[in-house]
Amino acid sequence: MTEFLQVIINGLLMGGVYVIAAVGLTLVFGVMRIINFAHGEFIMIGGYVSYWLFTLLGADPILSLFLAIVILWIFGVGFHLGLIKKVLNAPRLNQIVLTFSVSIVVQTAALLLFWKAEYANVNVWYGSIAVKLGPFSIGIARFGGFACALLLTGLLYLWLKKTDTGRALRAIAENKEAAKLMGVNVEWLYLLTVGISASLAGVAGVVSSVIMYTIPTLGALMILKAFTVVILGGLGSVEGAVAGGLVLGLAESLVSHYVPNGIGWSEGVSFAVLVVILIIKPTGFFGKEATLH
Amino acid sequence: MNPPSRVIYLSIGAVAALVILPFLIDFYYLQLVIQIFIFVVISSSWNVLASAGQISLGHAAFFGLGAYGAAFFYKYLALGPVLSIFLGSVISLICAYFIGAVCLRIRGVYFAIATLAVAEAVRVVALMTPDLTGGAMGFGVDPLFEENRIWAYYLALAIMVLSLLVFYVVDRSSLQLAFLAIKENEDAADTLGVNVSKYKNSAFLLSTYFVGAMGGFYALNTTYIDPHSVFSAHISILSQIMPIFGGLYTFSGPIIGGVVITLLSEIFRVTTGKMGPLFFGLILIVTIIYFPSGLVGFWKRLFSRKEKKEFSPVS
Repeated sequence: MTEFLQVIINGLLMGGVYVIAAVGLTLVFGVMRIINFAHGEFIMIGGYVSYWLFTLLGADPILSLFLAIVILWIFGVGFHLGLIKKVLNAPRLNQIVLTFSVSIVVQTAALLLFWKAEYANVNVWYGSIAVKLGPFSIGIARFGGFACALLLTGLLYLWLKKTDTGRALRAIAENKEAAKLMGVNVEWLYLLTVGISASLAGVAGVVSSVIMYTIPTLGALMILKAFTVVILGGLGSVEGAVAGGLVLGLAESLVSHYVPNGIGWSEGVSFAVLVVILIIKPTGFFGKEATLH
Repeated sequence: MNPPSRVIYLSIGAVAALVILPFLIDFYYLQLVIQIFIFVVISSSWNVLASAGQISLGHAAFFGLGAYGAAFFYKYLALGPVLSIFLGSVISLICAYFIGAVCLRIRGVYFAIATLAVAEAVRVVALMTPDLTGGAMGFGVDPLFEENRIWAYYLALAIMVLSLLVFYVVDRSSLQLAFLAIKENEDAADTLGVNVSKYKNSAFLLSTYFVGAMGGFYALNTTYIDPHSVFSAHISILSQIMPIFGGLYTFSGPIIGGVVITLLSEIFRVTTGKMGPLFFGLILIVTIIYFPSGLVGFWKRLFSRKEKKEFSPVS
């Protein structure tokens, strides 16, 4: 029983990373109806910001977090102004293929820049310290990452619900044209949305670099998990992303612990979950729309 | 639109030239042309599904399934190469039938994500069942036709010609109209009595069958397969780049795109090594933003300025 609960705890803590990795994806989709296949690459860049700052300057990842938010914000704004803005009214195929090709370019550039596909770890001093809580042990770094992920997601949720800007964003999500007529500055809010989304991805990258690793292909790995999370919870739903992330973390943890040869198979868990959910309830558990085109 | 007779003469001429070609070029170029055949088929296949409005991000799955299927029949049952490739393509078709039945129930972006997940899932299965597939190590097969390269060339040519013939007939048939209706508006097509799920499934099977066949050919031609090469995301990426670059929703566009991108791919491989995907990604970005109707659209715009407003399917 203790072992089972420990597996549950590990799964939930890992799920926190998936939440923060997915929440930016769901935000952009909810507001702009764009699926950003390059979202995983923002996560990867965040991971390398943390890695290089730590390796070159010995900076603590907590410090890198703030820098990653700023750097990724800049990346996000550039991405929006240079590319996304140009296909906002294009057919869906063009949008999907565009973000998909950005992800290829960034990933290849990272492979060339860092030259090899090696796992890069950020070995902070508290990385392997675990607190004993009764029979359970909880890694400080993992818990920190988890707390940070849920805190930021909670802040985002409150911001969307309680502030005027948040209301305006939700208005755009409901009906862009009507929001425009009501004097909402759609252009600026789109920019804000992509910037926030990229910054959140950066946070996910910093957290991954500490509790897992970072690698030029981290984005490809994370984007599928992020898709699983947002589809579990419903595309465009922040609270859905929280539920989806925790469920995926749990599922992976259970599979890798209880299935023989489970570490290898757990890579496939997200895809299996994804396909099953898409079949039984394609709009996810929190998705409002009946069908999306 | 060209009159059909001109197209027929043109294609007969092209096929005749391709039949003579292997006697004029050396081994390296022969392999390169075979490579072009493989990618032209993948390119045109992807276009068929796209013309029904469905975006697949995981065509590599069917390439790999065909490759493993053919390699199994060839190696373990010692069937002839042509029969093995055919049976491999049937395996890929059966899998596509079930995958399509499941994935095509969902739409648009959801479908695209599902295909991406399917491709990854198939790769993981191939990696994790080493007793069957050799796992990450893969396995080797004997070269087909006792290493007679010219016969291998003709086999690839035959598969390509057959697939293009099928796609050409489809392009001129009422099937294409149903695909167009679905692409433009699925709900409207449904309301007007188009059997949407039937046509989407047809498009999916048409679009994956020859990819599976070429996967089988690839396996026997390279004599070695592993999950990394045949389920490579690179195949799924190229499958989109080629038709978009050449000109989506046309018959000739994907063929031109397949030829040009395969040649570019080889040039990049020789000159820059690992940087290939970087250039492809950039080509795709520029194409999508500035020339969404590809080379064919660019060509048309260049030579038919007089025609006022041409119907452009993309953008």
